[in-house]
Amino acid sequence: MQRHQSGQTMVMIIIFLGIFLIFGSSLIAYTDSARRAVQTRYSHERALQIAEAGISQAIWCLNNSSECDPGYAGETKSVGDGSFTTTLSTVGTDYIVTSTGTVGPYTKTLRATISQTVTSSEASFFYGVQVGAGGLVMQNNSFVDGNIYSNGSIDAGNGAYVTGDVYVAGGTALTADQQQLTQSTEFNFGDISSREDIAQSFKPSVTEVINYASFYLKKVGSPANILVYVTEDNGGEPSTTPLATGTLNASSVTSSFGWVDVSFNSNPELTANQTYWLVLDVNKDQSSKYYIIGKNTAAGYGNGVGLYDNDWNSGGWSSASGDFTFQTWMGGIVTYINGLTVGVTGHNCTDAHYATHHGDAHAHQVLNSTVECDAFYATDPGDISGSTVGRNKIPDSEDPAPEAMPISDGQITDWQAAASKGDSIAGDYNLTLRQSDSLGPARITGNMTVSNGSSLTLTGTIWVEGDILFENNATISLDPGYGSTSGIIVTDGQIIVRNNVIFNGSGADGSYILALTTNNSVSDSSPAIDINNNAETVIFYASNGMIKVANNAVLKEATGYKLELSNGASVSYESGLANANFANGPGGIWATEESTWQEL
Amino acid sequence: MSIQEVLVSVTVIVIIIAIVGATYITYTNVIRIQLAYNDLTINLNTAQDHLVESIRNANQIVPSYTINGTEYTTDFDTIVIRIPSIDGSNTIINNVYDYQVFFRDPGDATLLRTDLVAGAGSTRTSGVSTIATDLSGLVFNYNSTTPTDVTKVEMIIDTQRTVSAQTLERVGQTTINLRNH
Repeated sequence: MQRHQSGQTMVMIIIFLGIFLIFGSSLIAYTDSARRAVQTRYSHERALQIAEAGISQAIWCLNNSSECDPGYAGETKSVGDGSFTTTLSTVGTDYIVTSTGTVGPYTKTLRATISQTVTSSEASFFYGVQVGAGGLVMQNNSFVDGNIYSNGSIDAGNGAYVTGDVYVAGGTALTADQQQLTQSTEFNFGDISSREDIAQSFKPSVTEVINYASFYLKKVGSPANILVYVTEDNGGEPSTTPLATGTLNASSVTSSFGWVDVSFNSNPELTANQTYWLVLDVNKDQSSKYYIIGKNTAAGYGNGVGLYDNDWNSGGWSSASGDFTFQTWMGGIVTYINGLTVGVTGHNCTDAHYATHHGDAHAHQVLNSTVECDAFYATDPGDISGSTVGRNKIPDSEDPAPEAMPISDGQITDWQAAASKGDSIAGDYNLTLRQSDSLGPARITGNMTVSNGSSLTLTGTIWVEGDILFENNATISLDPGYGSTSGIIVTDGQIIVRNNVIFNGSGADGSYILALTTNNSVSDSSPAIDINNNAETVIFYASNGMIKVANNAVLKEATGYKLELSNGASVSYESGLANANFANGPGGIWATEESTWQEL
Repeated sequence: MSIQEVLVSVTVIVIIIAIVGATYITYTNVIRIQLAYNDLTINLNTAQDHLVESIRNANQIVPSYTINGTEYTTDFDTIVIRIPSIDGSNTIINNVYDYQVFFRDPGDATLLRTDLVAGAGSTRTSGVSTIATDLSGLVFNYNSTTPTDVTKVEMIIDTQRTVSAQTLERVGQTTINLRNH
């Protein structure tokens, strides 16, 4: 018995150990399974990210063909603890890239279509000088060889002249009179026959002329221009007799929402608190080419309603169940031409040769000026005071309608997006003394400086978030691949052009460089664009700020909110600018096509 | 065996049984909690995977859309997306879209549901389904106040369950890029 009892403690210990071993091992197994589950999820995610890297690499190689093998068709490459394998196949002019990311035993395959977007966009510069509400200052002996269209007044010094016609639009109030800015949803029109046309009613707060209207919209495909009418109300629907007509250019609308201004052929006076309509007439329906306008379903704009119809002339409007996004801008601000010589002495005003170089002045007031041919103004004699008119004085003329700027905010946004698809340069870009470089498409988050004697070739659109400085004797050229299209440099900061900077197009006729800033400085000492010397083959554009042109500098075209030509400075308009076509690069940019990315 | 030996043996056995019993109870409690955490994690992962995959493939956040007779509006706990439709050969169908919404069940807010209406020729299945339970919080943040301009969505999912008077919680946060925008 004694011998049997002596092993009892050991048996108990073994039983205890067994129990705790079972408990412990099950806990370890549980913990390990959780670890493996996390590891599996992590590896799957890693595989997907590495597959994404494969697509990015393929796009980069297509955009930088000199950096990868000719005829790039894909590759296998190690990335950290995994790898990707890409294959490219062609479908028409596009590539389909299939990328498989692998991490250990885990794989993820993605597929996307890569297409080349030669996103050219039209902008018509019909005038040697086009100026916004900031107006034009022409100092002594400065001149414009061409026509001027200004939405603000013109002040000219001794000897300042223009060879063509001058239009100064009736001034526009600085703030919108009526507006509906809320977009809670969107509304297609021009896509099906029942909604080819839309209309929005409004009630002006003052009795005044309407100068222009703005709409917040985007487009799908390439629809036709929209005719925009201002009409009276006819029993809760638009009248079929327009008070004024304007054209909303399809080229000003992009595939992203943006505001687009529409000016009218005349500026009718609207009566305060009376209902009027803005009618947008597409005139045909196309399922792949149409417009989308913002809409507020809450109908928060209390002074009108939105409607849609098959044909605005036939009645039978339907409720759009909300208000469209729009703004109306009223006029009534007196503007003038002061001290300017309009036209060249000796013109025969009836000679067809002078159809574009004529010599007429159109403004509410034409003061202290010499007008070679006809003067169109408001009231005798005060609004023609101090002026000499070579042929006809035509009082009681309507103020010219404000002219919308030739480039819309949406186009600028598109160009910035195109630049962002290329190289990303964090901080400043400096091209040092007498160095050469090719750049674009590219986005630079700092400033850009092209130093003395250095040479920069644009191979795509460049977006500079800071300032741009072109120093003495720098050369800025477009890659020859641009052909007859033009290239773009966009900045949010100031553009300063020092002496003897040379701008070259691609070499083909009609190819220019557009230097554009969204900067809003109108300071004389620190303007949005400061040009110190000759700058031909370049278009300067300051949508919200001032362009200041120094003494004796010569330009081809300048468009800005405000413009100042210093003593002896001149702008000589070139007719090809009326049809300028801007491309984002010589061969376009390869990028993933929308709605083609998928996980396999 | 003497009476003293019996008493000692019984005492030892009682102590051993008490220790084993207490260990068992503690263990089962731990297991119950761990299993609950496991369920919550699975729920959370399932919901995240489902949402991430759908949103990642979407080409647009839709302000509002009527899906299978119910109008859904995108806001901070509901997201309506438009996804390119895919045909039987797993190829995207041009200009055809499926519309899908993720939302908390108005009748039982612990359920995360999805409703989908498929475009013509799409292989995705229309209808409502439940993709997660134990939901206690769902938040979507967008990088634009205009739904159609949204390119990035931040998503926070909170799942909770009470076990043995103890509230267990798993929270997941992730940011998703709309790859087809």
